[in-house]
Amino acid sequence: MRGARRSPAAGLGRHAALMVTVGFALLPFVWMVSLSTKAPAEIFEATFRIWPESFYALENYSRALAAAPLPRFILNGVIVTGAILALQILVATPAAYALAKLRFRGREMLFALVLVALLLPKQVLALPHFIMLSGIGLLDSYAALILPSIASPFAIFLFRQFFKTVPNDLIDAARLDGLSEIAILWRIMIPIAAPAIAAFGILSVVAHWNDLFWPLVVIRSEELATPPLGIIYFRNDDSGTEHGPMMAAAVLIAAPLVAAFLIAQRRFIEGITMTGAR
Amino acid sequence: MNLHVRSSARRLFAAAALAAAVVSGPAVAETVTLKVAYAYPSNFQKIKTEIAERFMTAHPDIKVELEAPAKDYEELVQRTLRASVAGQELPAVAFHGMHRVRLLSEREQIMPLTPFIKAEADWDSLGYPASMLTLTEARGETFGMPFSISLPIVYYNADLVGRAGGDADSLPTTWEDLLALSKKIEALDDRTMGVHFYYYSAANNWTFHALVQSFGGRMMTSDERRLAFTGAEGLEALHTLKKIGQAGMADLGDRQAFQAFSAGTLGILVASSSRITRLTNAIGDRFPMRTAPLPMPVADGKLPAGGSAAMMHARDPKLQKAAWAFIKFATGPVGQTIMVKNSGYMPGNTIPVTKKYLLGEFYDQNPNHMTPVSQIERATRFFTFPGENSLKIPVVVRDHLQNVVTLKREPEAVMADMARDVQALLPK
Repeated sequence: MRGARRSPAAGLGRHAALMVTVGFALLPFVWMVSLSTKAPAEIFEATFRIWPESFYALENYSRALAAAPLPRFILNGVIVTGAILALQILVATPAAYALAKLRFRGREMLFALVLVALLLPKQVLALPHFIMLSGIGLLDSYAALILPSIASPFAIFLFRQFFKTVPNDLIDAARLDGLSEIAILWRIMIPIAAPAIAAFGILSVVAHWNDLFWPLVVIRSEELATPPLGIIYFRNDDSGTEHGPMMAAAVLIAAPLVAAFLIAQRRFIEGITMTGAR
Repeated sequence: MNLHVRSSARRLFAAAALAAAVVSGPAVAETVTLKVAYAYPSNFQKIKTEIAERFMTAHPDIKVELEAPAKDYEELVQRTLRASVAGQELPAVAFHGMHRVRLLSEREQIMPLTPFIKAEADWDSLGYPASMLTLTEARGETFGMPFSISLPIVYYNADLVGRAGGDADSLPTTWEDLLALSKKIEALDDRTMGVHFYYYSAANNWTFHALVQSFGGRMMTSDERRLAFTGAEGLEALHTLKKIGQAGMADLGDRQAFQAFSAGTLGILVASSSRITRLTNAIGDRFPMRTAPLPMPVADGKLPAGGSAAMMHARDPKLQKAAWAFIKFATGPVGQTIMVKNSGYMPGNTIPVTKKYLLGEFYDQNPNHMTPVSQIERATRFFTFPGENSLKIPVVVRDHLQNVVTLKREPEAVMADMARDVQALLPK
């Protein structure tokens, strides 16, 4: 409240500073959209302009859509990231609830293990995961893309922190009313944790949507490929990259994420601030 | 009630199974499905799709399935080795980089094609020059049919060459004259750069091999017991790199150099002929781009052929038969015509080049593409060092080359160190 009464000059300065940072964050996106509308000959011109001299977007976007099966990749992205997120929540919320609110032997030990798992880069697990999937004959399938990601230590950690903020009285009252632990989880904890779940959802979807490492390891069929593969259809270090169509593909691949973020934005920020405040 | 439901369900199931057997029975037995893997989709996605479609029209009993393309040849090799370790079935045919023949054949992942070639009744009429089949040779056998070939060539900006007083219609053919011209281009104004020699990110030190071979040298003796680039020819190659550095080559990344050339600020660029199409598009009508052969200090100088070849992973004889038919189609007149028209590569088959109705007209209209074709008799196998460290040696060599180009060290001193380092990484 008091901030609002400060001199307009200070407010102006603050906004100017914020605008500069936002500008830096947005510049690559502006550049991406700008390049996606330019003809190949204009991309390497010595002078820079945002809006192209000759509008070439139609050619770039239709080439992007024709050369790579982008709609198929995007659909695969929706299926895979959706399934991963749903299963992650299914696995992480009971675990987080137990670690936050139930008393049992070895709880601290288990939580310490979750923290250790948080430290492991996923590349370390790639080889064992690959061999396991190969052993059960699941390579080159949706399951190969989804299964290794469903147990997320980060989700368990994040939800546990959030659940700890829920007063014990509330849970005790629910128990007195005869709710089972599962019912408490589904009817009380998860609705309360919605902002944290939304925040985690954004991070999870973005990470798996953009993941190029794991799909390239396990996927060989084109019809199972995920969105980032659309980019490598145009990247080429041997005879030169096609920048226009590549940027058009990048715009098309990023668009669903931007849309999803705008929709979930409010919850996302709530989730970060509430768990962060603990 | 319950019983009734179950029995009618069983009857339904039996009927469905019978129907499925009738529908799928004989058809499945006759069609062979060929899985085909390739890399660099931005070049080859359209080409491979068209070839597969044309092939299936000609061979209705074979179904070609293209796998998701790999980013580059290294990734394709890694994917192959990984699948083989995991016991997965490999694609029947894969278009690997030709410099990977040694590795893949040593690990017994690709089949020798010599038996198939010998079984062909009329092989000589199919348009494969004998020299082409040596490009994919290992231990005396051919392991791949060349599909797309590239050679190192010289690109130049005809405007800058003209402004610097050079003849835009014929570039100097010796390094001395070429680099003298480059210095003049460099001096035109403070934005222009003279020359860039693509070497840093060249897979397997390709352009350095080209320099050594253009002086008549080779990387190792033919029995592969001793290093051969340490001789006079190799030293000449290093001195040429030093002269290029002295002519003012900036220590730019290769990608930046391609951008500078496309923007019109770089005069002369030594790089792979595979870039002709993309560079032409990126330049548009900013300036006229021309190509010329790499300077050849000796008359019988050679050049290492880069590019890809169709190789066979299939082990089952029936699958092999279908795979061989596809390989012949892709590397034959029809496949090669599709390939050349849609990319910057040279064909491995001579029939389409000479036939006006196939590619003759294309080369008339795109004279820049004729430069590598004119050098085809110089093409030789792209050498890779033997042994476990075949991927490590190029990195070591590259760092030594950088010391020469950036004028940090003298060629003689670098040669001594480079020979020692490479020798240490070779099998004992």
